[in-house]
Amino acid sequence: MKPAVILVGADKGGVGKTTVSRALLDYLAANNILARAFDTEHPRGTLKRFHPGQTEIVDITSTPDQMKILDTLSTAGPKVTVIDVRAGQLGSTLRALQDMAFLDAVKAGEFTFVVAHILGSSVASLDEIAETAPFVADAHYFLVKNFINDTTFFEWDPQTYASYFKNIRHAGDITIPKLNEMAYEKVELAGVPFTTFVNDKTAQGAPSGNSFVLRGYVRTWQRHVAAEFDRVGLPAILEGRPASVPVA
Amino acid sequence: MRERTFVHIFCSPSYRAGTTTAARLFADYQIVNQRAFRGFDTDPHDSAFARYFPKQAQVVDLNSIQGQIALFDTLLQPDRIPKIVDVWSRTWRQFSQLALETGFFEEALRRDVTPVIFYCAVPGAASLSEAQRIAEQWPQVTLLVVNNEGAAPLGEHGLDLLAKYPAQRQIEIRALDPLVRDIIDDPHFSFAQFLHQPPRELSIVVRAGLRAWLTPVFQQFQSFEMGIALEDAQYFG
Repeated sequence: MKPAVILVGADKGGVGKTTVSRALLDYLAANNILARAFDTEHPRGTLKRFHPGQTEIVDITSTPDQMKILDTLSTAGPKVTVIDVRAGQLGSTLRALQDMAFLDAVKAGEFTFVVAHILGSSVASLDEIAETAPFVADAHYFLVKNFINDTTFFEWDPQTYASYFKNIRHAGDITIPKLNEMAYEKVELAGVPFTTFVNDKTAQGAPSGNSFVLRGYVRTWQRHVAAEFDRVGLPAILEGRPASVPVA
Repeated sequence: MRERTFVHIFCSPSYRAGTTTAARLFADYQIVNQRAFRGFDTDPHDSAFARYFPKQAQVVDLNSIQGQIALFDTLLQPDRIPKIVDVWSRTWRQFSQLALETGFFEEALRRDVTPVIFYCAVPGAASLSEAQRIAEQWPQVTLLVVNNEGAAPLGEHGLDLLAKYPAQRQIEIRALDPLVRDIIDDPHFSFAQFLHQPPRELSIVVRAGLRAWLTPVFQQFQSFEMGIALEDAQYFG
């Protein structure tokens, strides 16, 4: 398995990037894929609050932190690196990766590169896709519709869709389903990974006494999210096996 | 002997299947046996079951997350207090879906909480098909079919139809004379109280008729419980 980078980002804030990163880290752990994570919400990271053991807060715009991420891809124990990109920095992060010749290394087959682009609910997201397109030619590119907070998405007109996707025809799509509001809020308050909440544990591993119903909602939601990651063949992509969704 | 907690779920996807009457009979059977129980009524509009047992039963609205928590989280407590749930027909789908999505029955069995479904049958293929779905979905859960002849007579081929139900046991509730029916429908009437001390104002004929109707039902509940007790007996013979 070659080192893999999963970039989770959007150019708009409040679309649930960190929620998707958290779901992703839980999914990878459930599939026995070791992963480390970088939270670019410098200096205070939300992802680190939920996954403190495997997350480091970095400033993606600083060279030392860029080195901390990229220079250790091959040497780090976990072969999968999840980067939760701060709101508004997806484009600049991709540009930085290009400048650092990381994208060339991806093209040369040195690394696996997955981009999970979390869409906002407005049509402006299509412009983001157009801006992102030049950087994801060799990536496994996924557009993520995050319904966790019951977002209503715009309807994609096929012609508009086609015009924006002329450069990235094979983008995959992932749908994160809605999670019951109270269950979501309880996990937020607990500040633990979704799986820990489902297992009724605190961050320290003690019994937490959370409601069975709320845990049931989270468990079902996690199952649906996992089905989405399975559907797009994420484990296969990370392991370098043929996946159901081709490279863009 | 195992000390487990029973959750008795009275349900039917059909209206007027006699679900509340069956749940009520079982609750009064608990009272007759001097057992405490906790009851739940999932009909927030006309909570007949909760009205009959105001001290033991609470109304839960399955449309609200608070109602779902109040019901399912309590049902999973292995406190050895029997629970009786009267599932309103219009909430059965939701109850069933929630149980499926939360893994309620599996979790119950893990906690030594034993769910028993009392499925009130009505004529027609849909009722049978739903019972079959329950049996397939949760094969580890005890399923009893209730034939309430007064509420939902199965007709001429009733016995043949009942035989097709994938149930471990049948509970027969015979039809009651309409005159007696009116008496038991009184919100203040209690089967347990009737057995303990029949109201003097009731005619002897009515008392005899009611007792004759009630006794076989309670005997079937007792027989069912004895079967479980035998299953649980670690040293027998």
